[in-house]
Amino acid sequence: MGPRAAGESGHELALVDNAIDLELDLRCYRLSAIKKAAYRFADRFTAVLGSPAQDRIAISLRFKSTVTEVAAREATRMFFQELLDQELREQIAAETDPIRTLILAHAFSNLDLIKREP
Amino acid sequence: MTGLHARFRDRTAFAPRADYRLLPFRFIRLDDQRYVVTSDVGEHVVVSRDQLIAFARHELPVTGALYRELKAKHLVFDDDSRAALDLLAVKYRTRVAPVANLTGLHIFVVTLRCDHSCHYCQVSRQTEDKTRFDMARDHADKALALVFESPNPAIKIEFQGGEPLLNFGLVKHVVQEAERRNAVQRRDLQFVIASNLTHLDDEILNFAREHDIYFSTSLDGPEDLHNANRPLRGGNSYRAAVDGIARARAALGHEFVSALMTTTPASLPRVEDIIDEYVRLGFTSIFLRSLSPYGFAIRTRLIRGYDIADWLGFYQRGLAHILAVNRRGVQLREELTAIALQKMFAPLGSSYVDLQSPAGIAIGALVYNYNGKIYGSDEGRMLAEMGDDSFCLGSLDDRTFASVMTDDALQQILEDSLPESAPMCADCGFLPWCGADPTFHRATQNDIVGHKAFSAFCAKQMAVLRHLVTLLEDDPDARRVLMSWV
Amino acid sequence: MLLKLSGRGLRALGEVSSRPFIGRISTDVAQRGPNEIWLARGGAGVPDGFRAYLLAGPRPVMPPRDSYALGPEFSYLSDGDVIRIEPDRGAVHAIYRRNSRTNSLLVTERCNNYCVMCSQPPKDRDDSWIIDDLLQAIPLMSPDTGEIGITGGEPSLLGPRLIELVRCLGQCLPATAVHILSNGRGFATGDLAKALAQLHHPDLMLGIPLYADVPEHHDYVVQARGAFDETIRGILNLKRHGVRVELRFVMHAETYEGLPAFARFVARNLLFVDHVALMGLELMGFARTNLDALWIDPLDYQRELREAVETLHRARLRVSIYNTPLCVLTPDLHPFARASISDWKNAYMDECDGCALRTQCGGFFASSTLRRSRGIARVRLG
Repeated sequence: MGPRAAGESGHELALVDNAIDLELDLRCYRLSAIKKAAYRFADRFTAVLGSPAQDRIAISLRFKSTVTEVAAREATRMFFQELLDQELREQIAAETDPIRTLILAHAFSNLDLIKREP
Repeated sequence: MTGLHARFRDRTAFAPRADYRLLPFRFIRLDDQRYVVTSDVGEHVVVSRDQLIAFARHELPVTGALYRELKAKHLVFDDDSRAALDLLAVKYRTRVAPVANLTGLHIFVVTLRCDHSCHYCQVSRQTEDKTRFDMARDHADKALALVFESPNPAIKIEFQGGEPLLNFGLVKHVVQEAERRNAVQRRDLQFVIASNLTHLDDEILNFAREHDIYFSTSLDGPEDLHNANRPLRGGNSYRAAVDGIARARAALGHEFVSALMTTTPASLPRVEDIIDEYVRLGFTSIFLRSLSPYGFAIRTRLIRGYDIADWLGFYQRGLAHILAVNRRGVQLREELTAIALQKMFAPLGSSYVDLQSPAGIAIGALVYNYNGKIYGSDEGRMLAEMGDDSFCLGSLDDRTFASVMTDDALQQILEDSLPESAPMCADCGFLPWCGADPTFHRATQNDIVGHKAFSAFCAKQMAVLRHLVTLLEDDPDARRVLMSWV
Repeated sequence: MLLKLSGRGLRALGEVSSRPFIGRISTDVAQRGPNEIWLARGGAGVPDGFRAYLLAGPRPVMPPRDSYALGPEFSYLSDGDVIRIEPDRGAVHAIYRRNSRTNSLLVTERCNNYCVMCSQPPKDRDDSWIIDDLLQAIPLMSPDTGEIGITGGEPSLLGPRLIELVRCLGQCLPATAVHILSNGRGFATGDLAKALAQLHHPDLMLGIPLYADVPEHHDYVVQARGAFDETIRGILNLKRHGVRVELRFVMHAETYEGLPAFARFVARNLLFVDHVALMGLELMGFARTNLDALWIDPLDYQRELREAVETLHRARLRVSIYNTPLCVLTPDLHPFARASISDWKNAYMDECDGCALRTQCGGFFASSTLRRSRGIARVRLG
């Protein structure tokens, strides 16, 4: 599991031309989770996604030119945490959305939202 | 423990069966170790990452303490009970019911004229020209008609400016006319004048006493800080405010006067002084407000004088000082914190219009500007003063309450800015405690939704909520005081 | 004052009825009638025209039909009281005492809960005659009566007959508050809640026990799986139809730890209830059977109790502490304590003599002597 370039697999994340290039396994992180995590980190880097090929997707984290290698690595580490969170969120949403709809329908089936005509 | 008589069954006979189902919830990282898990209706549990994973994977033991807490707060349910679904439905309804009441706060900008020249002021003018910057009586009457078309059983009319006491004749007229209408309508009607109190006289105080009018004034801290923030031509703003507070309290009663402060760069190192000043003057409430990105504050680049991290430091130190003050037995609550706590712990949430979902624009508050234009919020009219009229809802000359409420542009703003559908907000664990601020995002990002990764509003909300949850979890003394503010 | 409400206190003095009957005590000759029971304490003559005669004094020469000598333990009976007489057993039962502020009508002994501390253990037998009796008795009660309680067993098991009873109370005693103790389960489905609401009784409250924030704990205390769900639905249904509801939480060793969570749950989910009563344990019935398992000195749950009261009070709920003497409560809880014990089972201890709080204090259940709080003490001011 995890990205090929991730620190935990022993490889160093290299900042090249203000970018860190990663490849993610779509069996670990669904595409919607990757996009949402990237959106959340827009203040730290711009994520450029490649097109998915089989179970893999390339993603390039483009930092500002002023970024240090340490800061870029730290942001990338946080990005992986966020990916995990975001994947979990997608899982939970898929599981709980039907029941949310059910409860909302139950809650508002008898409610007259506008009590009086103004 | 001694057991029950043999004819009774023990606890294990009533334990839930092994599997459970998740109810809708969101989560967000609290710190390196912990997560905040919230339900749609705003109940929360703080868990470790391992606990979160076990919980989401249906691996929690159903007899454990965490399971009980999650179940009691309706984040899970099991085959033995469907009561959670019924209660959740009731709680959803309870939370949105107030929206159906529509507008409760009605702001009359009776004049833009003011004798102060505060650096952070969004709107006021220093001029003698009454005709250009005072509200016309005709517009005031039309605004009142609109006020009473709102179905809300509780109506609050707030007079703002400029300095509203400079057009006291119109204030009187609106109060008397509102009371005349209310003799038939029987709403819960309340009046507030937002004033610097410089022009308080016996006539005004007598009138205020007869009509139960509240005063909300500005007090930025000790004398030197207050006067530096709020220059008064040929006078001492601090003295005027403190004298005014004393006179109004004596005439009306202590609780009829409240104060608001604004944080400027000069305030940053002095939060303790500011709080002590509020305590010294006998206030039981203080609102540690940050500068808004509108008006002179922007024009004078004052807002660039500090960033959100500076303000957060100010807020956290301030809150710590306020908690210490409370532990000494002095009652003082911080309003921003109280609003957040209200959203966390009260089924109805908070009625503070700037932090509503859907946004409080128009459905929470309406502003009738001096020139007869209608705005959905006080910030909306401030933005208009900067040349962006996107929150204008038409003119008092041709609008009814119904036409304002059903305005297409308003509907679009409310719908677009709903956090449930905004990127990042939609799955944020703090969503049930947060709100939409389309005016802020329009002012700062030229877009009513805004990219929250770049939003000072979002950064501030996140930091304040993280700080509060941390205090509630880790500091029992703080928790005791904070819970008393709910 | 401890009273014996039922007993074999009658000795027939002559010919008696074959079936039980109900009547109202009178000492006024002018009140004679088919539902009146003459009570004579002295040796005066026996007037005719009464349903029965209770004679505490000497035996008359020619006792009328249904004359009984009344045992001294029933000397408290007085004008306006409504009693049931069982001639074959020589039994008398005081259904209603006019001078008491706490009259409770037990409407059935059947129950679908089996609470571990039940003070009135249920009996599973047909007792539908009780309600027939009460429908006869209610018209005899004084319209000045302040409050009537309805207890069981579980009153909602009576279904439509409960509605009949409350309608009768509303018609005969329109100024009397009615308080029904129910587990609420009977109101979970169907139309019982609606039917009760449609009576538009001017002063009706349902006291419903709830013992936890989650089903497994509540169901254990009431020994019935699924009870929590039905009770919650019952409460929601009753409130939806506008019936006032009071929550009741009995504090003992198996519930006290859950008090704070219970209070948080109520403040969040059931904010619309009209009153919350946190109640000390009455050492009767199953509470005696399970005494060792259930007893906890109230001193040892003050922390949980205070937290619960704070939570509920802050949420602007009306909250009361019942059945607990002031000397075992911390002073900040005194304002929430109510004198709640029915007069006929209320007692005080030796320590209460000369106690500064005696007049404000609810005292003890007569049964409290079984276990004694370490906190019981005479309070002296100053």
